[in-house]
Amino acid sequence: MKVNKEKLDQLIKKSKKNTQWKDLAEKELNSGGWIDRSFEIALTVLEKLDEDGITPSTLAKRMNCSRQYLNKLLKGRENLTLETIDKLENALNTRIIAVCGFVDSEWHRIDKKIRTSSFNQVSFKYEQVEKEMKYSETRTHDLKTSNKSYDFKAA
Amino acid sequence: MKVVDIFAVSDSESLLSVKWDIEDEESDEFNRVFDFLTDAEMLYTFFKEHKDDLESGFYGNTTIRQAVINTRREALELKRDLIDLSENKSSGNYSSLKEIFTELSPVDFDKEFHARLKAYGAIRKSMIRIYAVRLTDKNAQDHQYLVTGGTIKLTPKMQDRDHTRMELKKLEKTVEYLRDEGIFG
Repeated sequence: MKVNKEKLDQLIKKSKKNTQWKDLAEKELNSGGWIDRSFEIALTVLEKLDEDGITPSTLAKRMNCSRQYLNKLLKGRENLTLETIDKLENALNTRIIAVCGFVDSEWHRIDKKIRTSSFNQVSFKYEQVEKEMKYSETRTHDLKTSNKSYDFKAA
Repeated sequence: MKVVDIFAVSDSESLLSVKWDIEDEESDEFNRVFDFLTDAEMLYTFFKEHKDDLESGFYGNTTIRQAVINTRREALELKRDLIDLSENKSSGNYSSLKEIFTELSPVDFDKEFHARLKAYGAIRKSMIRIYAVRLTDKNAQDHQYLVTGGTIKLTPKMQDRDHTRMELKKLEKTVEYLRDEGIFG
């Protein structure tokens, strides 16, 4: 097969230049770790959707966002805010990211139960509020005692 | 079909891409392939559809999750190599485009296969493929490459699956176009 150099040069000359790819690629490659995390989150969400038989449209509805935005998010290139991750976690009823030392903390589990109480655990919420109030009363009492004791000593 | 100029490595090396006249497809093949190879949803869907091939043992025992992660990593590495080459720097894996593209094996293409090329990811047993046609004579000093497409290959032969057969067709269409334009004699 022979190549006609003159005709090839003409073809290259009249070809459209794509100058954008390099800037976009550089941006992607130099974005640091967040884009890798975004990809991991997208992959985790895709697996969870499959596992639970949830369609992306249902997930978009649960998150109160458009299907177009969810599509972008599932590409794994979006710089997600904590608010968006929280929405994803609530919509899928799963934990996607965790902060060191807080993964299984008591407050997180309580908080999670309080947040889900609006759906089916209302009684738990009341119990929790009652518990919190009792704690608060005890704490006030302790503080008063402590102050008295301080006053007494000061006197 | 249109031709898009992606970059010139030097006076003697350049990379171009085909832009097919397909409705709703605005990207040229070079950008389309890299977009596919780094898109979590597209990769996940692809590997789910080809789960049997993935688990066939041709690429060892790989899960969908691992395949998705590996594919993106390989594509990003190849992108980095191409950026380095476009800046006339030797990349970590290659020192020229000539090293990136190798000839398609006669198994995949049994006639004038010397002009049809493929590029892999840098790792051993890479699944990713970028297909191109060499626009210059094999032994010429100038090396110009025209990307015709690319995909993930999970089977020994391109003829084995529809999506890889499609890539062969795209290579053929491109050669046909170049003949019609009088570039290939």
